[in-house]
Amino acid sequence: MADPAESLWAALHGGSSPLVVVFYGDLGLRERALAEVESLADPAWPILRVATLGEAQVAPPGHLVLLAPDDERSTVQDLEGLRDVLRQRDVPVVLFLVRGGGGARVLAESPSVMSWVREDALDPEEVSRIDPEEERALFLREVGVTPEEWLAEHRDDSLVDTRSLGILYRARLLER
Amino acid sequence: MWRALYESHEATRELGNDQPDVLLRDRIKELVRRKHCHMRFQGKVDYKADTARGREEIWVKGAETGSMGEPIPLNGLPALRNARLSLAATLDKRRGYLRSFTVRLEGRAPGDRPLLISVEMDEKPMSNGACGHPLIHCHVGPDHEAAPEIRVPMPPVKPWDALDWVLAQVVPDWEPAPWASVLPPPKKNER
Repeated sequence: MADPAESLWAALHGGSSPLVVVFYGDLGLRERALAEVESLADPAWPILRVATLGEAQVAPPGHLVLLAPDDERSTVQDLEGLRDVLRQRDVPVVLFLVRGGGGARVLAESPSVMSWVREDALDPEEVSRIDPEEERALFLREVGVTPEEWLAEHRDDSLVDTRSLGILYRARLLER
Repeated sequence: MWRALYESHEATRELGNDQPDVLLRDRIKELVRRKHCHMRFQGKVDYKADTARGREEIWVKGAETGSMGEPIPLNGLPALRNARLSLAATLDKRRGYLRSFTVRLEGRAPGDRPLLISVEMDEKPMSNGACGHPLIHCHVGPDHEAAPEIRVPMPPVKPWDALDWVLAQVVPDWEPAPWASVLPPPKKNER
């Protein structure tokens, strides 16, 4: 599976469906999710933040619309009726839903809506999670030593070559 | 002075509400807008997290193999050909601070001279002391092995500030802090 930013970027810029769905952890993290999507947008796209489907419906087709509704359940329930309108857009609408919330549950029970969501619904926080043991085993296979052994050998090197930068930072993530 | 610099470097580890990946990616987005970088590299500033231990790693995934840490190419820089930008950072998300970062630009300067500029924040004090090896320092030289190894002391910059500084050296008109926004307004008598 691709990493979170790569997955989000692919969803924003690929496919023909007009809707991207992004899950976030809790209301306190919603702003961070919006900022993340904005940072991945085409610099040429004007960005519009809206709170209702009505606003999303009338947004200019070339704008990236970030829909962060207060009533997520009703928003998802009303989505199907707007499919043809949203299809006219050049740039997708991104709908933000709290993980496990009412909107997310309605979405999971709406196969017809899910069929026109790009790249499935994305949960960047979940996608970013590694299995440390799996990653350590992969590191050992690829590099030939454990992260701790690699760091011990290189810790006093003041500057690693660029090819080793990826290994250095992987080791720092996995180091026990 | 060196103690004060060290303390300011340690203080800069605090992240607060900063989103490092977004702030780094915003600079890549601006490079895309200025046509120095392909848009797909916005999606290559990525991250992985060991949530059990509260650690997160941010890095670029490069052009050729898509491997973590592989640099991304920048083009159209008048003073640097074959420019390659590497970004990486380690965060302690649980405690909300930076453990380390690297912002590195390499390429060929006029006369085909190799050039490397690498701003580094160390995880902890290294070498003998805070003067020769400040926590946040910048290597400048032809490559990572050149002697003597120059470590220019940096101000207390976060990785995105370091990226701004590195880009300001080579990208025309890259200036996030124009003097008009920095200098105090002239006093009444001076007008």
